[in-house]
Amino acid sequence: MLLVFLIIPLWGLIFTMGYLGIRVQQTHEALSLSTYTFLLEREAGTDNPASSAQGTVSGSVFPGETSPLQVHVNDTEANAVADQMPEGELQTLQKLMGSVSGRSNIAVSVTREDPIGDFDTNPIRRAMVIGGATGTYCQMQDESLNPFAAGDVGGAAMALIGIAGMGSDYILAPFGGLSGGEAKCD
Amino acid sequence: MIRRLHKDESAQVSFLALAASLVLVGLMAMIINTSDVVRHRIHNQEVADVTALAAATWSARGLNTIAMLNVLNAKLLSMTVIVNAANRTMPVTRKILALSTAAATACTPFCTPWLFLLEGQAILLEPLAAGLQAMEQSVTRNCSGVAWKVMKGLQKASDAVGQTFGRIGYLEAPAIAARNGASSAFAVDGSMLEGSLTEVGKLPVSTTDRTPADFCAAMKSGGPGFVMQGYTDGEGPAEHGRGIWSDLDPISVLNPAFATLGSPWIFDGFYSSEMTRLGCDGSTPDKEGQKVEFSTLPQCREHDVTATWALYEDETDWLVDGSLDEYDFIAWVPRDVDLEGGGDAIETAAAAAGVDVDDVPPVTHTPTGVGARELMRQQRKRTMPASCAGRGRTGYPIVEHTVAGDLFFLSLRDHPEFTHFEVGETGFHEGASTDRSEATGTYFLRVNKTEREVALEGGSTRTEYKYRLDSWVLVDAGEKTLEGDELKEYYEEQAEREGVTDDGPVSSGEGCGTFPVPHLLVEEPEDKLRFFAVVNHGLGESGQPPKPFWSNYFSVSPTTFTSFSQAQVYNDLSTDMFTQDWRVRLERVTLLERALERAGELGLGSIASTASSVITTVNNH
Repeated sequence: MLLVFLIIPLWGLIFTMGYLGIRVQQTHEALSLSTYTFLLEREAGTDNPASSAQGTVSGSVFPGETSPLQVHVNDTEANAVADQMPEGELQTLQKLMGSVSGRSNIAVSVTREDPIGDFDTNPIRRAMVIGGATGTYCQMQDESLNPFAAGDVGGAAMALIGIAGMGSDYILAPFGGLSGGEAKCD
Repeated sequence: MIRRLHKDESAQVSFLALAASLVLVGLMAMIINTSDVVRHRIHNQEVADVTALAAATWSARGLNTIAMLNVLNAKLLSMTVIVNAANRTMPVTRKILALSTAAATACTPFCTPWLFLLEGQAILLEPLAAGLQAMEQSVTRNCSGVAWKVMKGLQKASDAVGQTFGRIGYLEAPAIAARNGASSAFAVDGSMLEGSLTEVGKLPVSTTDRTPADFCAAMKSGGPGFVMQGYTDGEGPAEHGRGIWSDLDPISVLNPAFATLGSPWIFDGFYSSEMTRLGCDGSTPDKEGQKVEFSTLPQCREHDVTATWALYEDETDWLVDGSLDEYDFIAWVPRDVDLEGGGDAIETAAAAAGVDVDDVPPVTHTPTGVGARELMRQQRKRTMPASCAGRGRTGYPIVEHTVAGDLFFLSLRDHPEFTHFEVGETGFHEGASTDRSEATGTYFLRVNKTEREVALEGGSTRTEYKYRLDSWVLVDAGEKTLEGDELKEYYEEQAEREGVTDDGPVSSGEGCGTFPVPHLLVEEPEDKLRFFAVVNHGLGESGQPPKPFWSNYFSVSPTTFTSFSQAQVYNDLSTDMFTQDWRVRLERVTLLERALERAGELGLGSIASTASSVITTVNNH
C-alpha cells in the first residue's frame, strides 16, 4: 500500500520534476545560444538568421531529437531608444537614429514530453530582448536586416543615404564607383 | 486507559506517513524554490550578456556607419579624380583628332576610310567632352562642386555619429536590461574603468592629424572593405576607374594611329596629376610600400638618400653691354631687385619679355630679361649625385674652384663664385632667402665674362663682351620607398607644410575651401572597444518574482543577484575604417580582472579575493 500510494507517486513526481528541470535548463541554454548565434548570423548577413540559429542550436543542445526547438524573432521595437534621448541639439539625430536603434525579441520554444504522459505537453517558452543590428556591409545587403531601411521619416532619411550610396555606384560606374563584381558576403 | 493506548498500534503508519509526507513536501517546495532561484540567476547572467552586447552594438554600428561614409567619400573623391582627369584629357585628344583629320584630309581620296573613321570619332568625342565638362563644372570641380559638398556633409555626419552613438549605447544598455526584467543595470566602456572620463561616449575615431592623403590607400589599393563590395583585391575605386578609362580609350579604339600617339598615357598623366594634388603618389599602387620623391634637401638628409644636381651651360653672343651680372640672366625677379630702373609698367615689361600679359602674376614683380633674352645655347652639361647620407653629407655637389692656378674642390653651397637663387611659390626667381632655398628648382649661378676689342670702320675700336653662364640646379632630392611609421611621418610633415589645421580638413592649397578627410581609428583604442555590463536582479522587489519562502531563514540572502559580462567590438577583416565589418562578441571579463588587480595593489585585497571567485564563475559561464 505504502509502495503504491506514496513511494511510487513520489518518485514519479521527483523524476518528472527532474526531467522538467533539465528541460528548463536546456531551454535557457537554447535561449542563450540562440541569441548569440542569431547575432553572429545577422552580422554575417545570413538571409534568415533565426532559422539558421535554430538549426545550429538544435543540433548542439538537443541532439537526436526531431524539431524540439523553435526560434522566433520579432523586430517591432525600432523606436524605443529615441524616446530616452535628451532634448537639445541631439534631437534631430535622435529622430534620425531612433529608427535605426532597433530591438529584437528573441523567443525560443522547446517542446516537452513528460515521462508519465499525464499532463499537457505545452512547450516551455523563454524570451529575451536584444539590441539592434551592427550594420555590417553584408548585413545591409539584406533588406529585411537593413537597419537603415526603417519606414518612418528618420529611417527614410537614412535609407536615402543608403540609396545615395548605392545609386552613386551606378552613376559612378565609369568613374570608379561601381565595383564590377558581386559583393562577397558568403 | 493510558496503558491501553500504549498497547494499541493501529494508525501508527499513518502518522509516520503524514510526518514524512510533510517533510517531503517541504523539501520538494524548497527544491522547486531553489530551482527557481537558480533559473533567475541564469537569466540574470543572460541579461548581463545581452546588456554588454547592446552597448557594444551601438559602437559597432557607429564604426560601421563611419566606415560606410568613409567608403562613400573615397568613391566620391575617386570620381572627382577620374572626371577631372578625363576632362583635362579632352582638349588634348581634340587637338590630336584635329591633326589626324587634317592629315587624313590631305591624303584623300586614299585616306577616305580613315577620314570617315575620324569624323565618327569626332561625333563621339564632342558629346563626351561636353558631358565631362558639365560634370566637372557642376559636380566635381574642386571645393565648389556638388560632390565636394556631399563629401563635407558626409564628413559632418561621421562627426555626429562619432559623438553620439556611444552615448546612445550607454542609454540603450540599461533599457535592454530593464526590458529583460533586471532591477538595475549599467554598461561602461573600458576606458571609463581605467579612469578616463574625457572621451566618455565618443567612438574611438578622429580626424585629428588626418589629411586627404589618408584616402589614398583606399582609393588606389582598396582593401578588405572594397573586396567585400566586389572590387578586385588590391584595386580601389580610383584605380578601378582608371582601368576602365584605359580600357575604354574611346579614341584609340577606333583609331590605331591615335593609339600610337598614346591616349592612355595622356589620361594617366592627368590622373597622376589629380592624385598628386590630393597628396597621393600618382604612381600605381605598391603593396610593399610607397615610393616617395623628396622635394627638399632636409628631407634628403632625413632619409639618407641621394640628391641629383644638373649643370647647365649657356652663353650669349658678343654684346656691347659689359655691366650685366647674375640678376640680368634670370627671367623674372621681384621688383625690388629690378635692374632696369623699376619704372616700367608690368605690361610693357611683359611685352618686352615676349610674355602674354594675362599670364603675368600681380605687379609686385617685374620681368627683366636684359641678359636672359640674349642667352642662345643652353645645354645640359652633366648631372651629379650628391649624397645626403652620413655625417657632413649635405646634399650639395662638390665642384671645382680655381685660385691662382691651383685647383680646389668645394661644396657648391660654399663656393664664392656662385650666387644662390630660388624659384618662389609664384614662379619668380629670387635670391635664396626663404625655406624654398633648399627645394628642388633652387639653383646656383655663375657668370664668366670675356671681352674682346673689335675694330670698327674708321679705325676706332670697341669692347664687346660674351657671357657664359654655369648654373647648378637641384633636380631632385632623392627618392625612397617608405612604409609604416616612416611613411606616416612623411605624410604628417607634408600635411604640416600644406597647412593642416587641428580641425582636420587640410587647406586645398588653391584657395577654394577644404578637402575632406577620413575618420580613422585612434591609436590603441582597445579599451574603448570593450564594454563591461553589471546587471542586478532582486527577487521580491517591485515588479520582480517573489522571494522563495525559506529565504528569510538564512542569514545570507540568495535573492539578489549581480551578474557581470563583457563584450568586445571587433573587426577581423581590417580596422582601416574602410571595412564595414565591425561586429560584437562576448569575451572574458578582463576589465574586471584588471580593476580587481588594481584594488589588490591599493590594499583592498579582501574585495579582490571575494570577487575573484565571481570572475571565475563568470568566465566559466
